[in-house]
Formats: sequence, structure tokens, C-alpha cells
Amino acid sequence: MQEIKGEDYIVIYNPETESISFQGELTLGGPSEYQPIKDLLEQVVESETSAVTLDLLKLEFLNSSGISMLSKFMLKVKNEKNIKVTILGSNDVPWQSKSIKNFKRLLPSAELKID
Amino acid sequence: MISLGNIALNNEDSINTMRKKILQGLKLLHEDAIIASRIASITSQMGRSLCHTCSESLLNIGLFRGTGGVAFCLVFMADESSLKLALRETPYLRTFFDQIQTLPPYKNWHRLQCLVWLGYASLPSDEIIQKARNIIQEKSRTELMLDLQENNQKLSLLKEQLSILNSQLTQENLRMGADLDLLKQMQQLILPKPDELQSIKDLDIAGFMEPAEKMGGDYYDVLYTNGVVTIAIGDVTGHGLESGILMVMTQMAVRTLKEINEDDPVRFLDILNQAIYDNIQRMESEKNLTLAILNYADHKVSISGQHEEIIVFRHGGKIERIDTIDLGFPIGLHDEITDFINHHLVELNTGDGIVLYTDGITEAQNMNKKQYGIEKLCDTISSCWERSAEDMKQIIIKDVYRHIGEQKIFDDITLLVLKQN
Repeated sequence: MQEIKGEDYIVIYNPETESISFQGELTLGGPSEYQPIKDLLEQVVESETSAVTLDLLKLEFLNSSGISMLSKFMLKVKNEKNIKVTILGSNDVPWQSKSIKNFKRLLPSAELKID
Repeated sequence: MISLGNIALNNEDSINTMRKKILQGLKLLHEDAIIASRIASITSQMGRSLCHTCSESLLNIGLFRGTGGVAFCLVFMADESSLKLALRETPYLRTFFDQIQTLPPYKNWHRLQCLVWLGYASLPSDEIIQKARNIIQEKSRTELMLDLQENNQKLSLLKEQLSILNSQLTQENLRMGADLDLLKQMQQLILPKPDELQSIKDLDIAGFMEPAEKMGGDYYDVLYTNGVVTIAIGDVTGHGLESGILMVMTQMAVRTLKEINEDDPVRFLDILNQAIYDNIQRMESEKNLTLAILNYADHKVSISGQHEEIIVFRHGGKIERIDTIDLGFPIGLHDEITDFINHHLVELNTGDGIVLYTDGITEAQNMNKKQYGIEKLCDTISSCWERSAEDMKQIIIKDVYRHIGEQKIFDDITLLVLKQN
């Protein structure tokens, strides 16, 4: 288990379930502040894993820099990696109903599981 | 010999400390406390006389194993003449110790070894030896003070370096602050002027933009040529220099496409995306932007591009929300977006209108971190639909600031109200 924790959020990587869970509200100020999370995502796709689940169900808010970071992640997977990405999300969370569709457009192979 | 430690004999303080340590150490190792006290006294006499005659002397303390069993062993180390003089000044030395002998010189030191048999054949336990070492090697108050002084000197040097670094950073901050001020000016400078808005007879338009302290990259524009009003609103991700530059680039790209009368929304956004995408790549930037483009002519509005929901209010206060997710894609994120571009048509009758905004409004937080929210925004619009665009703008902004209260403003706040005359 690997964790990145802030005042209002926590990002947990569980290698056993090959899932990265995002929880709380992520409102970091720009790419440099998102770097540790970006590094974690890249570390996971660089590992030998063949699938990864992004669990966004409990991520109540993600600001535009955060959406941008996840979008770049989708593009990276699409361009460089043969990894099955599953996104768990909810239509009840405003930012998710909007952005998860964009993630899918960037990475058409991604599987969406929307509550 | 098993060493328990060294004590430098260089002043009265160190002699006193040495006496206490020997007393304490020997009490631990020898069952007779009186012997300990006698040895401590005579050693301090010897030490004092060494200290007076010689610039540098040392007492080496240890445990010695010999024919008589285990001994407490003191080795006085000094130059030859001082050692001789001290021995003359301390004639009783020989009566206190069981055995005294001169050892061969070690480096420049002449050495005198004094032993007291402890009355046992084998060495004390490791635990006892360690305890004795701790006693002998414990730093005196003076030594601690000296250490402290040395550390303080190091610290004050470090502090000096830090203060230099700090002033460099302050300068850097000031410079960046000046950059941001410049960008805020640039952002305001490029906004459409009230007389331009008033020249559009069909629409009543009012705009508002307040940059956050860290300046986001909000953008809006109203351009009127050949009977078509083009309204644009966008938001570059993040804050600072890059966001500001991208905002100005976007304004120019939109204006250029408008000048060449590009009225196909797919081509319009595709070309704009290409240009911005390539510049973002050149800048090695992580940023992108949401952008909605509205073209108005003769009561009809065509909306394209992905941005916040667009709010249409009808005569009477009814609200319609238009989701823009399927109308476009973030600009500058991907080099191919044509498949995602669509347009949506809205007809406006007198009293109807459209409210455009950036997330600085809907995501404005109060002290409890509660966001203003789109529902509240719709309610406010619905409650004042009858007013002029300018009044509506002021009512909405006032309500947003009421919500924010004492909380910090995290993002640029942009609002554009247009109403069919």
C-alpha cells in the first residue's frame, strides 16, 4: 500500500487489487503540486501490471489542474502502454459526470463503471 | 588495558570534574569508598600541579589486568619535565597507589602509570564497564558550554546564509508579483469595452472579471462584425504566468478566426485547438483550457465548445441548463478533437437571455468550504431576470461575494450576462 495524503484528500495505491483510490477533495495549485500523484500514477503504469483501476467514487471534487493531470495520464496510457484501465465513478458527483466522458474520449479502451 | 576514557587537564574546572569522575567511577568499581575518595584526591593534586606547569596534559583512565588481578589504572600524560616536577610536588603519590611506573613515551607524551588493585581477578561485567565509561566520558558543564558555543557559531553562520537566501527569494517573489500584476493588467486590457457592447443593438450585454490574487487564466470576449456577434468564454487550468499567456493567445486566435469569418464551429475550434496545442507543446506546459464559442445573429444562438453548463433564462424566470460536454473538448489537451465538436441552437425571444461564467463563480467557497454551486446561481438568475443585464450582473456578483464572505478568493471570477432586447 502506498499513500499520498493532504489536508482534504488521500490517494491510496493497493498493488494487490491493482487499484488507485482517490478520496476527498483535490484542489492542488497546478502541475507542480500534482507531481507526487502524477509520479504515483506513472510508477504504477511503469510496473509490470496489466490492469489498473482508478476508483474515483469518493473523490468529491477535482479542480481543473487535477482533471488535466488525469487526462494526461489517459493519453500516456493510450500512447505508450497496453494496460487495461477501469474507471469507477459516479454521476452524482458533478465534476465526474463531466470529466469521465473526456477520459474515455482520450482513452477509448478504458472501461467505465458508473454508479 | 581497557580504556574508560581520557580527560584533558587544562584548567581548575577540568581538575574538579576529573576528581568527581574518578570518585564516582572508582566507587562503582571498588568496594571501599574511602579508597575511592583518597585516589580521587591525590589524582586531583597531581593533576593540578601538572596543569600549572604544563601547557597540555592528559589523564588516561582504564582497567588494567595484571598479576595482582584487575586494577584501576590512571596514566598521566605530559611533557617530561612537567611530569617530573609534578611528581616532586606530589611526594605522597606513591603511598596512595599500589603500583607506579613510567611507561615508554607515546608520540610526544611522557607517561606515568598508577594502579590501584580492585581486589578481583576477572574483569567486571560489560554493563559495569559501560557505566564506568559513561561516568568518565560524560561531558562537563564547561565542555557542554563550549560545544554549545561552537554549535551556536555554526548556527549563526547558517542563519546568515539563510537570510541571504531569504532576501533573494523575497526579490524573486516581488519580481513574480510584478509579473502577475502585469498579467492582470493585460487580462483586463484585452476585455471588450462598454461602448463596444453598447454598439450591439439586439443584445443587452454586461461582463465582469475579477482576477484572483494568484491570477487564473479566465477569458471572455464579445466580437461584433458583419451582423454576427461572437461571444467567447474560457478558463485556462491553473494559475500564473503560463495561464495568463495562454489566455491572451486564445483571445488573439479567436479574434483572428472571427476576422476571417470562419463560421463553421468544427473548423473554428479545430484550428484554434491546433494552434493552441502546438504552442502549449512548445511551452512544455501542462495546461489546457475550456472554451465555449457562441455565435449570435437574429434571435438565434449557436453554441459550441466544452465549458461550464450554459444557463439560458426565459422571460418569466424559467431556467434551462445546457450541458456542453458533447459540444467540444478541452482546448490544447489533444491534437485531434474534430470528432467531439458539435453545436447546439438556442432561440432567444425578448426578455430571454444567457448567462456565461467560469468555475470561479460556481466553485467559490465560503468559510465552511461550501461551494456557491450552479443551483444557487440559477436561483439568483431566476430571481432577477427582469432587470437589465448590468443589474443582473451586479446582483449575481454581489450574491457570490456575500457567499464568499471572509474566505479567500481562489480563482478568477468571470461572468457574462446577455439579454435579448
